[in-house]
Amino acid sequence: MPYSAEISRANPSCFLFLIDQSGSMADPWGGAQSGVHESKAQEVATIVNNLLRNIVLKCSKDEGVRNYFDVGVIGYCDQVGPALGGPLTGRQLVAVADLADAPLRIETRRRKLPDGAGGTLEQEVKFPVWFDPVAHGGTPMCQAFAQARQVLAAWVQAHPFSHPPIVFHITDGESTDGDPTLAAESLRQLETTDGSLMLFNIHISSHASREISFPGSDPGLEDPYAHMLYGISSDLPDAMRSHLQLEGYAAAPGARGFIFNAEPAALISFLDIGTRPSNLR
Amino acid sequence: MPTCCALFLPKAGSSAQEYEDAWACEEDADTGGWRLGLADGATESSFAGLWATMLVRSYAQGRWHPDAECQEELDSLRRRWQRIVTRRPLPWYAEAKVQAGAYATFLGLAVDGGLGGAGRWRAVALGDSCLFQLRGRKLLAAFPFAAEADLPWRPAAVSSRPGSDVAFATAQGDCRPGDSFLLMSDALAHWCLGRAERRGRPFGSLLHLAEAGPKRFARWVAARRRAGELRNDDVTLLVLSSREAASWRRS
Repeated sequence: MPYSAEISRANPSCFLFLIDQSGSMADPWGGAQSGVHESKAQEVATIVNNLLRNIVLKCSKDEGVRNYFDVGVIGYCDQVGPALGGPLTGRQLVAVADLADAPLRIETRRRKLPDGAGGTLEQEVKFPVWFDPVAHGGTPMCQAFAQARQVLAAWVQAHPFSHPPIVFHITDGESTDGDPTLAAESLRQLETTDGSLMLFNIHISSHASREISFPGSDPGLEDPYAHMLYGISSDLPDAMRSHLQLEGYAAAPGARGFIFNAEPAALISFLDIGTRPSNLR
Repeated sequence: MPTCCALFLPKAGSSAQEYEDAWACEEDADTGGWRLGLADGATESSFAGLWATMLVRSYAQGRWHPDAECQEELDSLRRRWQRIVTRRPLPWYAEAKVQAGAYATFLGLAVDGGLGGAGRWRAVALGDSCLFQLRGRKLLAAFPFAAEADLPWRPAAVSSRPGSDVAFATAQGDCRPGDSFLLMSDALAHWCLGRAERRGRPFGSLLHLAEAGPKRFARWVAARRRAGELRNDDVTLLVLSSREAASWRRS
């Protein structure tokens, strides 16, 4: 059965985040009327930094951080390249223990946590930041997929029996260097004995528009750009569909890992569920 | 002469130090009664093995019983856990894990009067570790779950966070000379209940293994894992019985 390999220190898996850092990412999420003041780039950076924090915490045990995953962030705007900052600058993939020990900086933020008696309490938490928001230039999506393929081809060769990599592509606009379909398909052809690489696409909008989440085999998307992103998105494995259904998404059989006009909450849920290991040992 | 034996293994690929189940077994020399505790530290939390060990030791030593008011003793254990894990400065991720607390499922069995004569047993559970009472080959009681499908996907667990509420399930019954009690953590409970539903004889096999000792048990677990019958998780089996043969390990 595909996607059932145990994720262990001997056979780690891999997450790669491909992040659109083009100029339009400086606009507010959902447009000026949305009441959101932060730019899409800022919100995405907060969401992905928080997700990286959660991945480190999942791997953290008594003795330290176990290398269950290799993780990378590739940004694309004027140029395409690794987006992690600080001591990890220039690194395309890093073991999660290295990620844990080398954030760009650690901020202190306040969070509401359950108090164990049905209420909540505010607590100060350390919030590591690995990359800062960037928003300028074009949207070279073809180059971004090509670079992801280059990085992950080496990874699957080194880890032939591992759970295959999952690529989360977050974008707000159309490709400025041509149709990325072939580059994305080439990326999706990478595989391990446990299955093919999964490519999930999350489109976020500068306009308040209807969100389309995890469409099935016949989504009826009129927008050709949405149709293209749907076409290059992988099917969701059953375990992920089940988790999404528990969060209220339809995610019917045949649903793909694709959201169009995603709200921040949908992006957070999808990234959380997509990086939730069911078979961590 | 009743004997308690314990068989336990970490996940395949993990070291003995990474085993996060915990067990304890104490006999009251005056009354001949027994107290057994088994806890399964949650993989997602840190310092869960320590928390599980503290829970079972405290229970087996009779310092708390969930039938009675146990909040004070649990809170005292929680404060001790917090002191131990924060003795040295922690990196940001370990600090966050301590803030989130450790979690462990818990199963406790108290047998009054021992197995040498008629007596009573009481059990408490939170989570998916299971207890089975056997009389000869007959299964008399299964607690807290009697069917594989009933085992929860996300079991409840005892938290190390101060003030957390716990609601234990309880059960009790009679016991006679010759009865056996098997306590096991979730991976083995899944195997056992599934096997029993498919007309297998899991309990007889496990009693045999308890008599044969840890090397045979390790080979058996490895074979079940390879065959995909047993999930790769920490495995613990406690057997309290009046059978003589389990002399290789006595607590």
